[in-house]
Amino acid sequence: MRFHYHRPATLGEALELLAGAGPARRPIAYGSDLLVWTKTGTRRPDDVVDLTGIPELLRIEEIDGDLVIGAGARLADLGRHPLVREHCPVLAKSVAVMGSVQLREGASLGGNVCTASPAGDTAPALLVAEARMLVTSTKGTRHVPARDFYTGPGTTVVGPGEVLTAVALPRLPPGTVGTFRKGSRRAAVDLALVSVAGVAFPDAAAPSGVALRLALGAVAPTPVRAAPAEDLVRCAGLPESPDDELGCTFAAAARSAARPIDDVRATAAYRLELVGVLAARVAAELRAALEANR
Amino acid sequence: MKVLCTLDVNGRRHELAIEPATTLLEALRDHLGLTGTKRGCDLGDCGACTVLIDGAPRLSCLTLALAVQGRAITTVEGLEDRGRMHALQDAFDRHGAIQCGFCTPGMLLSVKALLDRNPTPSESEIREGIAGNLCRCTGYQKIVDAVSDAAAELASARERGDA
Amino acid sequence: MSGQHRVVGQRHRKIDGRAKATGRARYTADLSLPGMLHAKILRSPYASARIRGIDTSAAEVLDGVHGVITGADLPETYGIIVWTRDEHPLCVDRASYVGDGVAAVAAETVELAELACRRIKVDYEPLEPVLSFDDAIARPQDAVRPGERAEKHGNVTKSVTLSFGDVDGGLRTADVRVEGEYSFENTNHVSIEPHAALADYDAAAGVLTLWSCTQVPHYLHRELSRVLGLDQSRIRVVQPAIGAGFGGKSEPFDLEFVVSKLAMVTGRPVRLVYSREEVFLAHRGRHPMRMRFEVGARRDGTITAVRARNELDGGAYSSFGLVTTYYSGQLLPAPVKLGAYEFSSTRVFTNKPACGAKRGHGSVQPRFAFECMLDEVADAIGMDPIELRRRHDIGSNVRTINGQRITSNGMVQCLDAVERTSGWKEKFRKLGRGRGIGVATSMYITGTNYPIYPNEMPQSSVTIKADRSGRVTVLCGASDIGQGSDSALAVIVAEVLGLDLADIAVRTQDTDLCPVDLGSYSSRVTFMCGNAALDAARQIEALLRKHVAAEWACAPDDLVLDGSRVFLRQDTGRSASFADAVWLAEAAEGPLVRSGGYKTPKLGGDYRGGTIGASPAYSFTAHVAEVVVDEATGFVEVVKVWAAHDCGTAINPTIVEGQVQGSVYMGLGEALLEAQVYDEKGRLTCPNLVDYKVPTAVDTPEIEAIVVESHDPEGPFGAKEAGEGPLHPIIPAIANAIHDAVGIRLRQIPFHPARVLAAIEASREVVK
Repeated sequence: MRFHYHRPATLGEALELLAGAGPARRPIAYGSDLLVWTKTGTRRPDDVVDLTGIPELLRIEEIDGDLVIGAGARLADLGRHPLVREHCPVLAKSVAVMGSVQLREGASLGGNVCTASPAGDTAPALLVAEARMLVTSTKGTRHVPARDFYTGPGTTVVGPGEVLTAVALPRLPPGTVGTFRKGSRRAAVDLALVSVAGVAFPDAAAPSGVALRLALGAVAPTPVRAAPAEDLVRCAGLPESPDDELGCTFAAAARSAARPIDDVRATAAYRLELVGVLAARVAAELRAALEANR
Repeated sequence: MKVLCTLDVNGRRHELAIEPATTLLEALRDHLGLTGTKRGCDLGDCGACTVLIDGAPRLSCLTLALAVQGRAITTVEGLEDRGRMHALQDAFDRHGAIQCGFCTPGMLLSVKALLDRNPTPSESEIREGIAGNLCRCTGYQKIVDAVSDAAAELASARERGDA
Repeated sequence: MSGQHRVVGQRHRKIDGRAKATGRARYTADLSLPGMLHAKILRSPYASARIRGIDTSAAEVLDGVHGVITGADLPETYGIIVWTRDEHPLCVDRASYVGDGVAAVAAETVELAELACRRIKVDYEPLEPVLSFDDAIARPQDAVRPGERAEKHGNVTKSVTLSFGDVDGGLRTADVRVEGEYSFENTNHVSIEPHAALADYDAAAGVLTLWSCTQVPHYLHRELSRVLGLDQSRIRVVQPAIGAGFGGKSEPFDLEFVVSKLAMVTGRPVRLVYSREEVFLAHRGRHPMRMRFEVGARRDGTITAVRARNELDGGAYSSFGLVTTYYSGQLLPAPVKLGAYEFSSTRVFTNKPACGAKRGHGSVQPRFAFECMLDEVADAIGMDPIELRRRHDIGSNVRTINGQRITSNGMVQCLDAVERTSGWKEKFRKLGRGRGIGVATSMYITGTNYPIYPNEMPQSSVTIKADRSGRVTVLCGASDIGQGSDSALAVIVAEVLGLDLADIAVRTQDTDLCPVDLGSYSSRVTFMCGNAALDAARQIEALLRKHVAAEWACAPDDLVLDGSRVFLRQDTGRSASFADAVWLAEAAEGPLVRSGGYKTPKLGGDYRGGTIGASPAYSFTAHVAEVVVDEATGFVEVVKVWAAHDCGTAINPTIVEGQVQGSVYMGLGEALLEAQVYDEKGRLTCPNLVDYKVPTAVDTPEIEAIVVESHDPEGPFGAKEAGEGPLHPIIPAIANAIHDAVGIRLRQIPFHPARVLAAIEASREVVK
């Protein structure tokens, strides 16, 4: 590997470094993705701009009801943080099963989000949380809804000279319960073959009285919300069991939102099967959690 | 073009002239001669290169040396105290948790971080704590046994005021 | 052979444990020498290609590059088996797999060496690769290893058919017949330490020193001499601490020759460390096998006949292939006694990384198939599968149907132990849908009967030097690859000479200092080096007794050696230190340096190939595995494993348990996760640890290792192997447990979730 290293002390400095510099100058957080790509030759940056020395990018705080997480916040810190656990437990749960202890201590939310792997573990949680991504350049900050942020496998709306600076998670409705399930080949330290994040909350406006937000990972070019499954719940409620009639219908609805591919890790057919099962289990778990709260 | 880098390793300060793209693993092994930290895959998948940075376990093969200036870095060489093995090292040795020994340095540091954060881990917490350290020799059983034993030992040392 | 020993059988710390715990142990990649250069190998991107030419000029002119070599610089072949020396360190005119080395560079930095490699222009003429067993058979004219052999045999490395007893009759008269086709994937050892080699050539003296993590320094020594054109007496091979092998470092590799040649060419030390990808490319892992089995049995569980057809995909070079082909059949006729047996095994060349020896070399795959079939037989006749194996165990001091001599046999104790500790009787067929328990057994060799090159010399020798300080040094050529062989030697010598372990220094792994040991493979070290050490130690003991007895005017047998002292049995107040005893003996005899050796007796069946699979002792293992199967997802979780292993005598029970647990772990990885897969161009799809998945601590269950001791008559203090045998049964035990849980028979490794789910769904179709 060969590159120049910059460690700006402020966001302004970082943005100046990146403005007009072209793709060979890359922002880097802890390097857990970029260094792998550079070693394997997938990327050949001439310069890296280390963002982890910028205090405002490391903050985790509540601002006007939103939980704002700096893009440089480490996954391990995020997973332990009381604000995250309280405000968006589904994100905390997702982070807890990402990689290994070492990876979580040496990786950032921003890095994981911008890598935008279709199998990325934070994305489904951010989708169901209806997070806003704060993308900043020397020209200012724009807020991009999570559902518009990911544009394809490995690609996002972050453009030249721009940096993801924070993720803002709005407060979820009262009584929200959430969970995350990941199916992988081995029980720890693995990429998701399929992942499912779900939050559910009482919603008087819904015929069933309950609303669900469900996001699927690793079954499409980007993480996706499973609208058919969400619509089903709005009408018919959450299934009690993955194996009852509603559970089976729900699984089918979730599957219809998935467009998985074959790759070295799994076949499309298996992913489709698995996402239905995990989605139905998520739904049943959420139902039980809502009932426990009543 | 080399740049100056100051690293605090095991309580000592070192000044190095390195290429900016030098990883902490390379700095430790090739520049400081601290070969206790091992390279098993160089891509962050095996955990053999684990060191502690401000007490947190990190993969030194995926950490730039320049990014950790001013941080307290602990390697396996820093575990013993004036020739006395750390309780964890002793427990590993006693329990037969060391076969080929190549994963051992990284494993010890992950375990130290685990116990520093959670002094009384359950067996499943121990296994989660070392999930990022691959071992091909032991099947992990004696490592788990050693950690449980060391945790108990450290706990009673604390109670006695020894630790 | 019963009774407490002083040192043998105790739970001592390993003598190298402290060095490894503190980071002091130095492995090959930790070594450097002044002026050292770094080497990198340029590897073929094609699975099969003619090399029309190589232009290294652009690499040579780079500042900081000091040496560039190609196959033309190393025209002599090598190979681990003397009859199949078909490898070049760098390809001469043909690349045979994606990853085959074609050129190498020595430069000031690794980065520079890699850059220089990229500048080398190779003119390849790609050929259509042969990528499967069937393809290899169908296309003999497209020889992977062209030459004389290919003209006669096409792509077949070796074909063996051996028949014992009347198999047709046995199958015909059986009450129950079971048939099945099984398959086993390509798996890698994944030692955490990648291969590394460092060479230093003293041109003035004409002496080469090579440090390498090899399991076979002696064989390497011979091949280095051959390939480099240097007399063996001018070569020294040293093994630093080794980060595991499992058979993956048990033959010579390209990097060892490359660093040596580059050191000779540049006049500077040269080091090369494989990347993890290169470890996968070098491979020498487990052969993929397709196996068709027929088993006949009587209602009482007697196995009347077994017929096996095995197809082995060997990859691009022979490696251990001749031996693997025999092992794929020769190790099945125990522990369960067979009435008649026939196997037909064929190994072919394909344009993929070569397969070699991996823990349980050649026998893990057919053992998987056979132990699953035994389960089917037990099911068909309504007999408990543990009971079937117990009733039909071959016993001790017998010959197998293929002429192997079984002496000590602790199989029944192993079965009893796992049956009891697992709660088998309360669980088998009783755990309810989704949860199950399964059993399997195996036996394995404790070293082989023959050295890899024919000779009549000892297979292992150990030299012991008793010093005037009272310290004893043990010199042995064997590689401690983590299995604790150095510690075992220390314990054996300490036992005989009445010493503490702290008084013993074990210096292994240097061809200049140590007598020849054939290497750490085939589970031979404890038995063979242990016996050699025993021999040498007893010689020293005899001298000490003789001269102390003379001094004290008593009989040599009146003396007791204990606690690093010598006592008069009748009056323990009369004693001398071990050092004093050494002084007495040395004054009379000269330096107390004695060597012991071990050679196996002539063993094996009296037919061609009858010695392959012959061993002076066999270990026996039984495993029970309990699993939970998620029927909706196909995920299999192994909840616990009980593993009983007859190691003869546990020189150190902690070490034996560790070997058993590690073996179970490694087999579990093969059963559930591991597969080295190639694409349609012969490229590895996953030469990394992200997609070649090995079990983490979370994937691995509690493994209860139970040591069984049958006290072998020929092992040192009765010891037999514990390093490979304990791997075999876990794979079929898991398969059998899955059957108990959800009623499906899995016949393909690995049992990954999609495969399990598909089998469950297929079985539901059948029920409908």
